Amino acid sequence: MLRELLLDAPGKKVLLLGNEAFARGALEANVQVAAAYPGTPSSEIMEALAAVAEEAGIYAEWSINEKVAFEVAYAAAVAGLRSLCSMKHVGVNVASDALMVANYAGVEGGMVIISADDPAGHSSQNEQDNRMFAKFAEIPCLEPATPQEAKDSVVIACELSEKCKLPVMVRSLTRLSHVRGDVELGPLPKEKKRPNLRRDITYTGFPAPDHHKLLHDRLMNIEEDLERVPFNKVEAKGGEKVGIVACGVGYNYAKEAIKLLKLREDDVAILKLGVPYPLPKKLVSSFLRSYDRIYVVEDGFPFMEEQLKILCYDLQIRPTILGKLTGHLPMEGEIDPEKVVVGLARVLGIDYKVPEIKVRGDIELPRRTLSMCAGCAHLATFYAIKQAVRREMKGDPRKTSIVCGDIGCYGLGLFHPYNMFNTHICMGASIGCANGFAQTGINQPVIAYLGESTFFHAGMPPLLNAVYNGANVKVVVQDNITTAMTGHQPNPAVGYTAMGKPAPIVLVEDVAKAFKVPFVRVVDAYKVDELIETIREAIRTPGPAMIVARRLCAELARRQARRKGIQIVPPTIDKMKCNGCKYCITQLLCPALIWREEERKADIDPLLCVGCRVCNQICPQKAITGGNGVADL
Amino acid sequence: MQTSKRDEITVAIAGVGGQGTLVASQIIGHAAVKRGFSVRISETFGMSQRGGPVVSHIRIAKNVYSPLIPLMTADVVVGFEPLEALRAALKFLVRGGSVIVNTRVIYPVEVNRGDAKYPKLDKILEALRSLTSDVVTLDATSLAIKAGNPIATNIVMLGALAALDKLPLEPEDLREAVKERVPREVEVNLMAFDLGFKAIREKRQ
Repeated sequence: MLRELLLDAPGKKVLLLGNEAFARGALEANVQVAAAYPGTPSSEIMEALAAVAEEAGIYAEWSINEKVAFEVAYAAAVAGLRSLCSMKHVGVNVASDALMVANYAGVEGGMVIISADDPAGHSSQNEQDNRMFAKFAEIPCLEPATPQEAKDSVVIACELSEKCKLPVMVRSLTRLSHVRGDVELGPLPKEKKRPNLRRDITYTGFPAPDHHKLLHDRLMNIEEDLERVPFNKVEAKGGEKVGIVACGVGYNYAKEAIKLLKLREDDVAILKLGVPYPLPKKLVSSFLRSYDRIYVVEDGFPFMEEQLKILCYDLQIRPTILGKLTGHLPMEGEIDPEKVVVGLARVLGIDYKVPEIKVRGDIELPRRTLSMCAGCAHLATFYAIKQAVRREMKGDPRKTSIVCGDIGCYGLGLFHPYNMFNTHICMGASIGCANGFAQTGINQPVIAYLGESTFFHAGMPPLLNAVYNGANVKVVVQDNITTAMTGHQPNPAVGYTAMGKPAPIVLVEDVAKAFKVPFVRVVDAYKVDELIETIREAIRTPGPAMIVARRLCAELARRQARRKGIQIVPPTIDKMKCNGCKYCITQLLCPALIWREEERKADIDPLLCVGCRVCNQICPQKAITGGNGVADL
Repeated sequence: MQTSKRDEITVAIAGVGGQGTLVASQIIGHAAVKRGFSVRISETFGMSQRGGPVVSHIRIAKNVYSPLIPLMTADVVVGFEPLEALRAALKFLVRGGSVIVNTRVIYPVEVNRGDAKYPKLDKILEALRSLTSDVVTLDATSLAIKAGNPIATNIVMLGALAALDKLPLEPEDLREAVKERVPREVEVNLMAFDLGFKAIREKRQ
């Protein structure tokens, strides 16, 4: 796919992931500086750009967090270049501090913020709709519907941004960012711009009321342009009484619903809206005037629906507006063809039943919850934390630890069967919350748990806070030398940049020492006893403590072992010694450890096992021995 | 919903996170775009699906809209794992459609812990056959090991799908796409493809 990104062949059709299409759009738009922090479903935008950046003559970076990414892109745009920053929806929360003044201050070159929202929270902790952020910041928002429009949206957003001198948001969704489709390539620019910066009070955001007025004037300036954005289009104006207003990806479901109801293409009118904020008022008003009933199809909050209702009030017209607020689509979760067709059938008064899914015969389908990877060092650390607390508490069942989780693969520790965490809210909040728990005077060990990328992103300020305020927190950093959850992006601990250039390695423990954390230890995460003893020692030592449990991500380790010619040989389970206690399976929960019901013994799946030898160390019967693989790296 | 097999098709690829459903669907999509089709492939990925059930939604036609397959409209369900094949077929397979199943089982954590039971393989196949008479099985993982790498299970399944002759593509289109999309270990992958292809062709004759 990366070859296609640089293909200078206008008119050629290629298969691109939505996120790759955004990246191609950035190249076609002549974006010269791009920055991001990884986060599903946004990561592949910067991954793709970084992979071709050098050849394309642009700059791309993985910033340490979204606020920094925003600021990097913002500064480039102030210097007159076109720039882009991309992030997942919750990333915009982090960047918002800068965004809420950058809108007042304005830009010279076109600046695009891609917000990849995740309705249904496939890989997120909430469902926030960042069109609200565009409205909050009073900046234009585009919402493409297809990979083709994803590509085109970056070009259009840059042009709009340069015209109104405001950053422009492009809202993506999981069902666009992670959808592959055919995309027709446009031309690539031939010439780069040179940065040009003058010192101007405009870029400072002061004085606020003047600049707020300026912001409003700038938005007014592009009113007509927003009407003409090609993602807005009216289809089938026929004489029917029902019109659909479909925003972004919702348009695809609306079209599918019409097919599923076996309606003719022109039976129902559709206004496809690609600009959810500010509304292209002329286009929308004329559509609203033409229909008695309006069905609003959108993912996320009832954002369009509310705006349409307000617009109708101003226009003094009273069509019936149906959507999320009227129960014609659910208020939570992601929309899909079934939800949209059921809503449309109700609007049209058609009888439609969603096919019923039934298993015939006496068969029960067991659930398959997500699990950590086989050989993941986080598993060893989960185990070690539990053991350390148990042993320190000497079996007193009333006494347990408080464990504050964080955002990363280890977020799975939240769920059954791990049940690791008391709190789990946002990046860096493990240490932040631990600070608070420790200061309540609670008589339990307070443990914060996070990865190294999360530590650099938002864990450093709360760690320093703990030192400065003397919070008795025990921080376990699961350092797997990559940002694993989002696809192995490098971070300051890794030693190279997004564009593959060598970079200085910044170790988590060095930061902790510089912050004057009194207790700092580094342990090999696969050495279980040492890890348990170190955590116990940390619990017994008053004051802030940090334990860095380090091991390369098991997925990367498997690849590295293969490259180095290390054969992965799973450990052997001595079937005479295994008494079927299941300790290894229930306590470690490594997916490579399987249960043979017929012989009532544990076994190891040779295709999943990576040879970490952690199970060897924990088997109470000492029945698991030998094996090699990633432990030998 | 019977569609003309040569110009419009919907395929669901079901498996367990980490089995390579994503790469397999990408190969099909790539080949289809080269043939001038409009394509949508939808999948959820990232950590969120690691070890969990995954379904790739593949839709190929002149004009495709929804990136998600509407319930019970997939012409083919390709199951990389038996339990997931059944789970996806119940939800997506058009009644009377085709199913290809890799018979190698991957136990959910729940089953290993003893919180749930994994159904017997013949029960799963029986349930699939109650949905359609067109169910074919193969031990794709063993064939992939034979080709040189168990990871190539997804390419074996792709070969099997090509042998069904339901895609609006020739097997050679897919072989080419394998070469272009997975440039590493081309020999292993092409052998995996051919082994999967042969396994189904022989059963179908």
